[in-house]
Amino acid sequence: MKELAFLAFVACLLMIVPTQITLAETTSIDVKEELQSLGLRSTTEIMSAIETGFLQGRLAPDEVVSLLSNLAAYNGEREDKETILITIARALKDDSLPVTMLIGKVEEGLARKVSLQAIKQMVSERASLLAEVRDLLYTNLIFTSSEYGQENCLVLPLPRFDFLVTQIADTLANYQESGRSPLEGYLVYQEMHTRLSMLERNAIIPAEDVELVLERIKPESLTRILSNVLSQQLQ
Amino acid sequence: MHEDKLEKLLRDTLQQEVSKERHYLDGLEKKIVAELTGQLPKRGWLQTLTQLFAQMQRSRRRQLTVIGITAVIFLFLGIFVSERVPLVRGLFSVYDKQQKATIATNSDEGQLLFVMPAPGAQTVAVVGSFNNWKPILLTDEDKDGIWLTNLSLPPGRYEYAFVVDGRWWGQDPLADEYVRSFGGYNSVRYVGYAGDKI
Repeated sequence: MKELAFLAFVACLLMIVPTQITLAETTSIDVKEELQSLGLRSTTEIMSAIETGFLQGRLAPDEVVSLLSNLAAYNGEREDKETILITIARALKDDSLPVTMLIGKVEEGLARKVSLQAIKQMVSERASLLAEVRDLLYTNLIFTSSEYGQENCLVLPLPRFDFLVTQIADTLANYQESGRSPLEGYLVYQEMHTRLSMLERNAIIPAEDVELVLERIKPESLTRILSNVLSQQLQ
Repeated sequence: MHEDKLEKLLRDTLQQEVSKERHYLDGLEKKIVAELTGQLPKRGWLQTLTQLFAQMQRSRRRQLTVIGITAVIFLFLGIFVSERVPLVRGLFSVYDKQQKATIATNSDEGQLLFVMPAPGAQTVAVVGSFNNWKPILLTDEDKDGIWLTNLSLPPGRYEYAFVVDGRWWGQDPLADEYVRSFGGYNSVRYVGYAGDKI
């Protein structure tokens, strides 16, 4: 009886292990295959950025495969799909920005069945916001990531820095998308205050990060960021 | 001398008490004889109630007893009606499920209960940033029009919306906040850490 149970256990192991190995192998291959199936001109540039994202731990193969396959299956111009992917790739590789929010917005737009034009515009605006917020944290000597350590800055581990940048940029983007005026710096600041406080209350973000941001970033800086992004979009 | 006064006082008091309750004895003999011969007239419910209220006026204890009994009757009636009448039952179950949702949100770390009242809907799903906006179907096992699913999520901030028969519904009453996105709304819920901070 014991032998039978042992044999059954071994049989189960033999069935499970190869499945896991296969899954781990096919994921990275699928990224390339999915990208090639889109038939884009900038495949090499995009793939290179994706690989950088994998190395930095900013991207997971599963989320990239999901994004590419959803884009491939979506009705729309190939050029628009390419622009969306290039915006994400350049934000990741050239500007060294976190792109989780951008990927999430593309997925949401596809699920909502909105036009690729609308998705393209949103991704572009949010990429600009991410860069502006990252620069704001650098120039105000608040935080920097462990990758780009600066003097007199609090050096944060990359995931913690990315999360902070993403949350602030997302708050500004939501404010902008709600149609309110970027000139009301105090209201923008209030939105950021509420978001960071909620994250702190739920222990998702450390209190010291929130305190520093709320103390050193002024409403005027947020107005300037939103105005910059708006003027970039108008050009 | 004092004993005489006390005895007189006691006698007077007893007489007063007896005279107060004399109406109970009025016609008692006739009633007993009638009952024994099977001729007692049946009292209607109105008479019974009138007598009950008359007695209530005389006794506070009885008054309280009647109020208690009435409360119990209404309680049972309420439970009976809530089980039998679909509309009332629906209201109770929404409240009950929302209560459960609140409890789940506040106490069970990482567990989020999504509740959507959609009577008559064919399919209800929740889509959100927790799974790349892929639909997760809600169920309505007791067919009361209240659809739900329970998701286990890591700590974070999540945007989501319900999709009822293909139509997006981004304003969940249980959400912590709402944001505009692609011209519509998304609901937002926060899942917190149990203890250790990052």
